[in-house]
Amino acid sequence: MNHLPLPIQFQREFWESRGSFVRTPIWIALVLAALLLMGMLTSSFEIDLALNEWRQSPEQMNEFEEGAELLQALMRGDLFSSHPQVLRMALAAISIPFVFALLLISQMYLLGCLYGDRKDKSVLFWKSLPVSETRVVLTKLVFGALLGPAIFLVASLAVGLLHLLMMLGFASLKLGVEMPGLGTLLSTFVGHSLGLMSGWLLFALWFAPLFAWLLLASAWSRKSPFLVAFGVPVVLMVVELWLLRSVNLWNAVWVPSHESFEALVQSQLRPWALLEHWGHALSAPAFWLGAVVTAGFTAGAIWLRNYRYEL
Amino acid sequence: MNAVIEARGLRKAYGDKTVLKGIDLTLERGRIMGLIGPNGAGKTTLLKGILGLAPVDGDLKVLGLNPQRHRTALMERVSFIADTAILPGWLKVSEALAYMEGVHPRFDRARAEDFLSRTGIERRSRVKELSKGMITQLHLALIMAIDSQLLVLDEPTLGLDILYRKQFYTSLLNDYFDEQKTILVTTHQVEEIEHLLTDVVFIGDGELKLNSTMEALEREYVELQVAPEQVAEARRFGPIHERTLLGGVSLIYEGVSAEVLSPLGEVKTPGLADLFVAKLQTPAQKGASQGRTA
Repeated sequence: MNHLPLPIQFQREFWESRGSFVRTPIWIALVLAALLLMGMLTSSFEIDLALNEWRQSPEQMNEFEEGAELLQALMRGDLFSSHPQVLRMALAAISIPFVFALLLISQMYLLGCLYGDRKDKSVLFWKSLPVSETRVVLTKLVFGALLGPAIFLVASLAVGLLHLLMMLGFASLKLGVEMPGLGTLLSTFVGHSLGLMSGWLLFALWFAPLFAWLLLASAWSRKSPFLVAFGVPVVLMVVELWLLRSVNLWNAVWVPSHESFEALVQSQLRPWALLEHWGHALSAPAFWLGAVVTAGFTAGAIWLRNYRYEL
Repeated sequence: MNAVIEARGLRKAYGDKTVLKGIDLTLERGRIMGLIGPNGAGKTTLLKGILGLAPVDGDLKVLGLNPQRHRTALMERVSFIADTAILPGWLKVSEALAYMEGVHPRFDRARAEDFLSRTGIERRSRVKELSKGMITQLHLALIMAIDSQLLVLDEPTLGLDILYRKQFYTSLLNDYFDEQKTILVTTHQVEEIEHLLTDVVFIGDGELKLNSTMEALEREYVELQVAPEQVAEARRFGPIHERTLLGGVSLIYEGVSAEVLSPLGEVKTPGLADLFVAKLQTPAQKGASQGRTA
């Protein structure tokens, strides 16, 4: 990873978080690929048996209710043309473990990134170099929210493509299902890729105030960034509920969380409606309010890094 | 104006504890100044002010810049090693070189590689795999490859064994220092830096107790060693400090010429460590030590 075509400041983040942002997605990709292969080999045998049974007594198939139609399409051999969403789901299913791991890792990264160098006392080494804290904090925000996740997304797309190809090969060679056209395949894959990228970007923008809060907690904390990040809001929420009988703070956390996850899920389920998702975000006052809060928290983190960096 | 550091009336208080009580300090280019003081004297606070790491009140210019406001610009021309500035364990030597080259316009990679080639440090090692001595050598190689105008060293050899410490200062003088550069160094090991200083500053209790060039110091202060029977005579010249030696007494004088004192016994320039004790002892401690020798 020594020659990424990135500004040196971002390369530094990759070096420091190699394990989280480079090795983790590679491991997930390898494990998933192995699981898919094993799954395909074992299910090959079982599907054969089941299909034979169903061919002899089709009434059993009704036990599957919703799946019955799919199974019939599979047996007829026109599964991919009558149910093109199967291809999309094959891709989307793969992105789920990547996105879950990514959510965990990017939050852990942001929570630790302005605390770790103070804890290991390297902060004065970094401060002996002509790099402003503004640059440091903004680099970490962009890296944790967008650049680091990019590797996860690319790995997810690679395994998704592998899954798609394995499924098609299996269905056509083993089960004699008719192959979809190249155009359908390409548009499905490109659509999914765009949906995933755009979905994460929208997620990150909606979630930005919470990401920036983690940065602020990281710069603020003297002992445990985790306690500051989660303890302070919980205590404030309880105090608000107790004194004012209101839940404004809870809403302030819930709205960006809900909207960001909604954007991510919708971008996967309906990748063709990207413009609609963006329109929804850009026209929402909460989205812009979140941008202002993000700027405030980030400015706070920069101030702390300049004036209150000592543990 | 040629001064690298120009400080007038520097003050700093934490709550009601005043750690700097109005410090005036000038450091000219091409000098090596030792800043010597006990723990808690305000040394670190003063250095932090100079490096823009913490705000101080008063008038302070470093290379003509306000250190707090223009910290990033200042760090292009000033480098420092603090005893608390530790290289992070995850960093590889090759990455440290690449990063310095990327962010520092005055970093000369070839020079750093040259320093490193004289050590056993491998490019692919991580900092956490190196010994403490090696980490300091790496840090020093990185910092000495910066063509900076001011180098600040805060206890640079703390925790190093004596071989490394000697090597450190030799290398600093031979490979780094020239008349365009300026060094400000603090250490508790006064004897180690004594011979390389051009200027010396004692700081105690937030004030400068001594601020002198080494030449002026040699003219101003005299140490006299006398036999016990000459002590009474020697005290008439008003020593600022005395201590008992094996078979005699050593007295330190300020502003008394060596010619006047030499008939009484052996005259020499006092060592910085003895002078430091003489200048920084509180009156109570002074009374106690004089009472003992009397």
